[in-house]
Amino acid sequence: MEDVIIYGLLRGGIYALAAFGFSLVLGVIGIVNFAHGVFVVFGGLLTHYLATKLGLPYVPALILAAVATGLLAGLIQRLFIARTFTSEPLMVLVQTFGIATVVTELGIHYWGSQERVLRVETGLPPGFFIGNTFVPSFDFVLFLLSLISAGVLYLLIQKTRFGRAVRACRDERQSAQLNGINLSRTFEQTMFVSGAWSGLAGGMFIALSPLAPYMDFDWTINSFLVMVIGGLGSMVGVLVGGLIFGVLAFASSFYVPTVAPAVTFSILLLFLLFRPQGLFGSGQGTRK
Amino acid sequence: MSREKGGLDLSRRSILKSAAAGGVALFTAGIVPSARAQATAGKVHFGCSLPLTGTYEKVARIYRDGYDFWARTVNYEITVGGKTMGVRWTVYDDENNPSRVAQLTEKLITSDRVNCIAGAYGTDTNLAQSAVAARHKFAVIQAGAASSRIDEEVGGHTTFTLVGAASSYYLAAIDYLATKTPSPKTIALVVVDDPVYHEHAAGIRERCASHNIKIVAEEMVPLNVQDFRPTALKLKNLGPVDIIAAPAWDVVCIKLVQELSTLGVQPKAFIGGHLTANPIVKQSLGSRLQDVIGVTLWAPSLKYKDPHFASPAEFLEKFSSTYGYTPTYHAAMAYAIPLTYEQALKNADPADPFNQEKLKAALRALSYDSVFGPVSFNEKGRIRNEGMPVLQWFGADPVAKIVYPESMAEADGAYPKAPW
Amino acid sequence: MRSLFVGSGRSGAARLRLQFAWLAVFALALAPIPFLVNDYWVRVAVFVLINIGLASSWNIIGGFAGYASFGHGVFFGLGAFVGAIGIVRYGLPLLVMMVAGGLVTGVIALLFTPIFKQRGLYFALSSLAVLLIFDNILQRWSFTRGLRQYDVGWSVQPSLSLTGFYYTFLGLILVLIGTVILLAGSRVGYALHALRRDEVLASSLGIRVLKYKVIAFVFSAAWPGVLGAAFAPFISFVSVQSVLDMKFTLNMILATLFGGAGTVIGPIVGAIALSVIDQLTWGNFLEYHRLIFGALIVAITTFAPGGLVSLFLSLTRRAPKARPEAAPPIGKVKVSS
Repeated sequence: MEDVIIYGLLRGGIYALAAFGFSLVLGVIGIVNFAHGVFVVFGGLLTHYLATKLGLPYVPALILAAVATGLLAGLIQRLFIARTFTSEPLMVLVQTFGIATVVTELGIHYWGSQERVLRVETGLPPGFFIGNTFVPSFDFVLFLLSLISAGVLYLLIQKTRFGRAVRACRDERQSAQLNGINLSRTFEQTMFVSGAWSGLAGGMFIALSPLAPYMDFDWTINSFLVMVIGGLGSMVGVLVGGLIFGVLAFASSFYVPTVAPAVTFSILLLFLLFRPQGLFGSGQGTRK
Repeated sequence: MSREKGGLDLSRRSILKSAAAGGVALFTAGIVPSARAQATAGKVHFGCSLPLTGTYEKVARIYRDGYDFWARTVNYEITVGGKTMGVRWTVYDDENNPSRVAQLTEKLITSDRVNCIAGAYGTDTNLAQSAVAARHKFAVIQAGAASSRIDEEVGGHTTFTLVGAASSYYLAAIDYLATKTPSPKTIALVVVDDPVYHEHAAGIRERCASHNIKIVAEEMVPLNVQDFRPTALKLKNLGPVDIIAAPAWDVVCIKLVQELSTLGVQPKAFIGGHLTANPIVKQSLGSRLQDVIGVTLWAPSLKYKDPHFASPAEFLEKFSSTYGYTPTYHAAMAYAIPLTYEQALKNADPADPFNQEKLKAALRALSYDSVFGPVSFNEKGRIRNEGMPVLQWFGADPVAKIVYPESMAEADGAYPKAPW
Repeated sequence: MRSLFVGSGRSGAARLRLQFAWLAVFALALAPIPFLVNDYWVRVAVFVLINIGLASSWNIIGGFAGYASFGHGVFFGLGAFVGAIGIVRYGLPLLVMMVAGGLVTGVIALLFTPIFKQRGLYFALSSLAVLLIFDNILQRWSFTRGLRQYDVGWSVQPSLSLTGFYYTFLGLILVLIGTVILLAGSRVGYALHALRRDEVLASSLGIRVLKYKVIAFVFSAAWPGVLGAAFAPFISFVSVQSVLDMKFTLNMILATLFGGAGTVIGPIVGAIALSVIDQLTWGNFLEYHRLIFGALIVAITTFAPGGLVSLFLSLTRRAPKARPEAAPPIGKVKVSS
C-alpha cells in the first residue's frame, strides 16, 4: 500500500506542474484552455527533438523547450484568444479546441504521430529504498524538480510585479484596470507562464514515458481534475491536488484497473457536486 | 452596425450571390456523377480507406506505401482475363472511425465505382466496411484485423483475411519456451481489455495448459491505458515468475519494459508482443531490448517466393530504397492484398472480369506463394498459416533473429534472459 | 429569444405558423433526395440529419438555457446501446427501441439533475465526467458490453434499407424540430431565456428555475436517446468506440455555436454547414482535412463568434429606425407626461 502512495506521489508532482498553468489561466483570464494539453505535449516533443536531433544535453533542452512553449502560448493569446475573449466564454472553449486541433495537426505533419520517449543518462545510481519501496533516482529527481518549479512559480506570483498584476487581475479585475494594470499584457504574460510550466512538465514526462501528439486531450483532462481537487486560485491547492490526483490515479489503476476511469471520474463528480471550490479554492468556482 | 440603404442591398445581394455560387459549386463537385468514373475505363480501379490521420497514422502510411509499392512493381498494369489493363488507386482517410468507413465504402462502391476493395485497419472498421460491401455483394480482402469476429460475421462470403487468426499469434512462442531447460513452470500475462487481445490470451492459455505451465496472474489493463507502473508493481509483488507475456503492441512493450526494468522485476523470459521489430521499440529501449522475445507475422530472413521478388529480403531492400524507411511487416501484408487480387483476376472472364461472385470463387480456390508467405483461404476466408515465427533480440545493440520453429531458426535462443 | 425573423410585432401564434411553414418547406425539399442521388449521398444525408437532430437537442440545454453540456453525447450513445441490446438480445422491433431509448435517457437525465447545482464551467465538467463514467461502465458491465463473454460491441443487423433509414431519420428530425419550435415558443422557452440571461433575477421574479432546467435537460437528453436507438441498426456496429466517441458531443456543440446558439434555426444551419465543410475537406484534402477543419473553427470563433446566424443577421440588419421613445430600462417606469 505504501508503494502505491509513493509511486502516486512521484507521478503527482508532474501532474501538478502541468496543472499550474491551467489553473492560472482560468483564474486570471477566466477561460478554459482546451489547448492546454497541447502545451504539455509540445514541450515534451520539443525537448526530445532538441536533445536527439540537435544533441543538446537534457537540462538545456528542457529549459529551452519550456521557454519556446511559453512563447507559443503567449502568441496564441495575443493573436487569437484576446479577440474572442470579450464575447461568450463558451466560444473561447470552442476556439481553444480548434487551436488544439491545428497545433496538433501541424505537429503531426512535422514530427509524425509516433510516440517518443527520451532516454536520459544520468550518472545516478538506479535508486534507493523507502521502506520496502524502490524509488528510482530519476523519478525522484524529477519529483524534486517539480516541487522546486512550483516554489519558483509561487515566488513569481507572490513577490514580483508580474505576480502582483496577476493576482490583481484574478481577484479584483476592475480595480486592477483602474490602477493602471495593462490587462492584455498581463494576460499574455500569464499565458506565457502557463505554457512554460506545462512545457516543462511535458519535457520531464517524456523522459519517463512516451508522448505523442494525440495525447493532448488526456493532459487537459488531467489538469482539470487536479484543479478541481485542489481548488481554483491557489497554487498550493494545485500542488496538493496534483499529488492527490497522482495517488488516486495510481491507486485506481492498481486496485481496479479496468474500471479505473469510472472510479476517477466518479470522484471528480463528487468533488464537483459537494465541494466545487476544491480543497483550497477561493470560492470563485461558481462563476458562470 | 448601421448601413446605408444602398450598401445594405449590395451586401445582401452579394451574400445571396455567393450562396448561389457555393451551391452550384457544391452540386457540380459532388452530387453530379463525377468525370472520375469515366477516367478509369480500361483500368482496374482499387479502392480503400485507411486511418491516415489520428493515432494509427504511422501504420496507415505503411499500408498506403505497400499498395503503392505493388502498383509500381507491376508497372501500373496487370493482366485481367488475358487482357492488359492499367491500375488506379483511390485512397481515403477514415480516421479509424467505423461510421466514416461505412460512408467511404459506400462512396467507393457507388460513386467511385471501384473494382477491388482493400480492407480497412482495425476490427470495428473492417466489420463496418464488410457490412456495406456485403450489401453490394462485393468482395473485400483485408489485412488489418485478426479477430475471429471477422470470420464469424463476414468471413468467406464477403471478406478474405490475409492475417492469421489472433488466437494463433503466440502459440509458437509458448512452444518455443517449452523446449528450454529447465522448462518454465509459471507465467504471468498482461491482457489488454479488447477482443483481439483476449483472443491472443486465449491461445496462450490453451498452449500453456498443454505444456503444464501455470498461469499465476492475468493482469488486465484497459485499452487506452497510459501508465504501466501499477501493472509492473503488481507483477513485482508476485515474486519470481518464469515468463511474463504482454501480447500487445509496440508502445505497450516499451512502457512495460521500462517499468519492469526500473522496478527491478526479472523474469526468465519476457514476451514483448508482435511489434517488437518496429524501429521505435529499439530506439526507445536500447539495450533493454536484449533477450526480449517477440512474435512476428513476417521477417526478411524468411525464404518465401513471390511472383515479383526473389525473397522477402529483396522486397524489404527495394521498399526501403523506394520510400526511404524500413517498414514493419505491414508493408508485406499490404502489398499482398492487391497481389492476391492480381492472381485472382489473371484468369477472369474477359467479358465480365470484375463480377464479384466470380472473383470470390476465384479467391476461394486460390493458392499461390507470395513474399508474405503462402496464400490460400479456408472456408471462413481466413488465410491458412501454421503460426508465427518467434524471434529474440540479441546483443547490447540488439538485433533480432528468428529462434523458432527450427525450420526457420537462425540462432539458438537465450534462456534465461540477461537481467535488466 | 430570437427566431430567425426579428420582425416587427409578430404575434406568437403567427410566428409559430411561420416556423412550421418553413419546416414544411424543409421537409418537401428533403423528401425526394433518395431518388435524386446515389447511395453514398443518401448515407451522407442521413448523417447530416442526425447531426441536425443532435445539435438541435443540445441547443435546448446549451443554447436556450445556457448550460454547456460537455458530455451530451452520452445520451446518444446510451440510446444506441439500448437499441442494440433490445434488438440483438431481446429481438424487439426498432420502433419499440426508439421509444425505449428516449425513455431510458430521459430517466437518466432526471437522475443527474443534482449537477444543476453548479453553473458554467463546473456544470460542463460534471457532464463530461458523467460521459466518461458511462463510457467505462458500458465497456465493462457484462450486460452492456456485448452478446458473449469476450465480445466488445454489438453487431446489429440493419432492419431497413438505406432509403428506409433515410425516411425514418427524416421523420424523426421533422418531429424533433417541431417539438423544439413548440418548446421555444412556450412558457418553457421564455423561462429558459430568462434564466439564461440572469438566473438569480429570474428566480427572484418567481420563475421556478430548477423545474425549467430539468425540463430542458430531460428534453435535450431524450431526443438523442431516440436518435441513438435508430442509429444502432443503421451503423450496424455499436460499441463504446463507435457511439460514445467525443466527436458526437463536439459536433453537437460546434454545430450549434457555429450556426448560432439559442435560435431554432442556428443548429440546423450549423449542422448543415459543418457537414458541407467536412465533406469538402475530407474528399479533397486527404492529409490536411483535419488541419483545415481546425483552422476553420479558429477562424469562425475569432472573427464571427456569434455564429453564422448572427453573422447573417448583422450583415442584413436594416438601419435602425429613429426611435425617440426607447424601451425603458428595467426598474424604471416610464411616466407619460
